[in-house]
Amino acid sequence: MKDMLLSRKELNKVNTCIQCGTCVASCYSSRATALNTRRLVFDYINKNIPMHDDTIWYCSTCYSCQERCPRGIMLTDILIRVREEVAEEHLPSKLKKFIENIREYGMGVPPRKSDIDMRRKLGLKNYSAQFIEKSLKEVREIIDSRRDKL
Amino acid sequence: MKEMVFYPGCVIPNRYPGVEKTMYYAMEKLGYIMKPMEGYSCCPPPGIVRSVDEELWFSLATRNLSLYDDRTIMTACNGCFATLFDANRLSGNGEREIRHVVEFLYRDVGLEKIKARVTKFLPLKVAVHYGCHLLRPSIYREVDSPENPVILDVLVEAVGAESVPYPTKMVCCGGGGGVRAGHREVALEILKRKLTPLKVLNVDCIVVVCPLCQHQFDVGQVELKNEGVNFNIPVLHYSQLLATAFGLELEMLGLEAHTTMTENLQEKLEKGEDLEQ
Repeated sequence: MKDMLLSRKELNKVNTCIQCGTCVASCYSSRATALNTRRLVFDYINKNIPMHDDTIWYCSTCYSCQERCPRGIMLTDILIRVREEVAEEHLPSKLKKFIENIREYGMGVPPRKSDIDMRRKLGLKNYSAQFIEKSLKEVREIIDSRRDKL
Repeated sequence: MKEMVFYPGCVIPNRYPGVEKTMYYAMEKLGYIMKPMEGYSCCPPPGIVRSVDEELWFSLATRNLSLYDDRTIMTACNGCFATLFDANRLSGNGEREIRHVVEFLYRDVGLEKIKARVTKFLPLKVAVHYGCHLLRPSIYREVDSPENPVILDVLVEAVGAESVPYPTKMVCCGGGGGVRAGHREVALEILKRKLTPLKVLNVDCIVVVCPLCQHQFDVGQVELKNEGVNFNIPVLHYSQLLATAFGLELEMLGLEAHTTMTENLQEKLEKGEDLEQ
């Protein structure tokens, strides 16, 4: 699955980066933060990813850099792949909580009482895994099978 | 009546239930029966779950895909669309199609059929926001131009509204990729930059096609207000606009869940532009 999401060939294209900076110029997050995709690619090629650098989590994954990269490098998908490596050492706690919510409720964003009330008023049924025991069990089994990563 | 399965995700049912209501309503008016996907879980989002564990992301996504045998799974969230679309592409099931309501309305239903169903044209001035993952990465999505799309603009015009151009139209809302969840201050700074050009345009509302963008715009504006930056621009999902144009009463749009709302917008939605006149 991993190779299909980002093939070795696509991944290796990163070595053709000319450090032109189109990615940074296209990056909305970089106008508000220190996120520097060009620099990140340079560090990645040099196998020198700073593991405790929070800026990688400032990317909103809008894919503007990837669309505009003149070398056709899958920049956003590579950034997500690098996040996976970084997450093993340093995962922002609020993102961890999101995954815990999925385990608990089947939902990253679980309902509040006001949401349940409004659903009733609008005549909507509650049919997510949160309300179906067998389904919630399946979801928990999938998450627990990946416990070593989380 | 054609049948399909509706995958609502997390944010629609648990933050903006009105979007779910209006999806079922509008699609039925157009001749589609959407079955609720019973037992579904969070899609899960690429920016958070795929960023932490790609295998987990894929396993949870394919579980959702496997729940029903229907050919078409409908979504109304860019994040859910992206995850299910990509997981479906990777799982190699050519029989199943993952659709986003906006591209489905434009490509499969068509503007003429939509216009023919409108009972109340809505004379609104709106700023449309496509969001990111509906269009990008464009090599896979093939929905519309990733830089200069038109489908949402013409769909908004089909119900009588005017889509105004604005310089930050294609800028991200700032909420995706786990940014809103993990680093709120960054999300709000991007949001402020996104909304600033709208201040002088006097739009009635922003029209989105993703509940995560909707939440970021809607609740984000309240958070910015607490910091002294006031925009006060309400945010509607296209399905809420469409259902209103098809005749659904205002009380069924779930507007109480919206934290940024104006009387001006509600009045215009209520009255519309009477067809008899």
